[in-house]
Amino acid sequence: MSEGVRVPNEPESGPSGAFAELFRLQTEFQARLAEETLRYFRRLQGAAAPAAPGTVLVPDAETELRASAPPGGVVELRLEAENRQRVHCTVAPALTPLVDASGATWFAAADASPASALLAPGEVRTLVVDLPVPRELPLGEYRGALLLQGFRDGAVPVTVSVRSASARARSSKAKAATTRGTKSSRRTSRTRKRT
Amino acid sequence: MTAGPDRVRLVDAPDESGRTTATLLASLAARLATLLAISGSDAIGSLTAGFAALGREVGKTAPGARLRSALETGRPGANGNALWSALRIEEWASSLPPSPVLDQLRNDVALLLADDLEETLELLPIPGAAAGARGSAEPEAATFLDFAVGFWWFCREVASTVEALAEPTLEHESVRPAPASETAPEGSLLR
Repeated sequence: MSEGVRVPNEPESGPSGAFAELFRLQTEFQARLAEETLRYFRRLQGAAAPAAPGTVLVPDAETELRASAPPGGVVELRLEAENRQRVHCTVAPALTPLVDASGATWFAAADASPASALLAPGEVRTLVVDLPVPRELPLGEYRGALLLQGFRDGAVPVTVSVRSASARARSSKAKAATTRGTKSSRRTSRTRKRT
Repeated sequence: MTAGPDRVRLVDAPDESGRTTATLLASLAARLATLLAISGSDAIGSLTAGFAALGREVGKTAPGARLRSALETGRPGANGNALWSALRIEEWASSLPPSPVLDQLRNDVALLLADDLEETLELLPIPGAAAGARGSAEPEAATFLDFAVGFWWFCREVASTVEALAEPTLEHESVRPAPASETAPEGSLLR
């Protein structure tokens, strides 16, 4: 007695289902292989591309720009850039958003002067960045960085204290009192030494 | 209140040959030579990816972030993203190594100001260095907004640099004295 071969029409069962799965896996493998090969060749192309010598920013260890102003005032940041390379160098300062510990972020409308400068070898140029402090800016200590755009890594930390005019006056009075106290104590110690 | 003037030094990258007239000239010559070996699509794609990479950096600054945010919330951002997606520009530019467009611009400008260019030109051909590991980094997604911000910064720098190049010899007087000549000027405009 002969028995006919049963051919199921369900895609997930039987020999054709297994072949379909194998075919799907093989197609996926080939597609992924082609994609990775292309990516490899692109990266190889990038590695073989001509080098463009660049510039690195090296700030002094303790370099940090600090300033304070009341809301509505203007903060001025000054930074000297010295070109230690053997050819001209272009400098374009730009400030990152400044963030306070409370979470307030200040996108300062900074006015850099010059906006972009060409420095000859050995030249030192002072870059001035003016920051108008908005009247509605909450008081606080805003931190960010001054970037010299296009230079690999390296930035100069910036801290701007936004304090009310009265707080600034109290702070300067306290400073003056501290200085007077220090001077008088020095005088006293000198007098004691004499006696 | 004024903060004290702190100083930063601008130096050569430690793992590179440094910026000299010879290395900058070699880099420019190699770039031109490479154009003969790659397709136009690859060249433009690399430049597009380069502007997008610059835009990602500029987007970290306050003016860049403001510009990006403004574009993103308006119609130009939405339409730009739609175009880049439908025409698969993002996919194309993201697959190519980004050209260091700002470095290249600054290096070419430095060549224009080099006082030893003529002597260095006589040394051609100068073998150029390859980008190496720096150029083979995994390319990041090049979006429309990154490209727009990067291209804006690049154009801004081109304008200010060209003005700075012309500044030392720019004539600031808007009136030129009449040439020393005995005969009066004649012409149809002077009737």
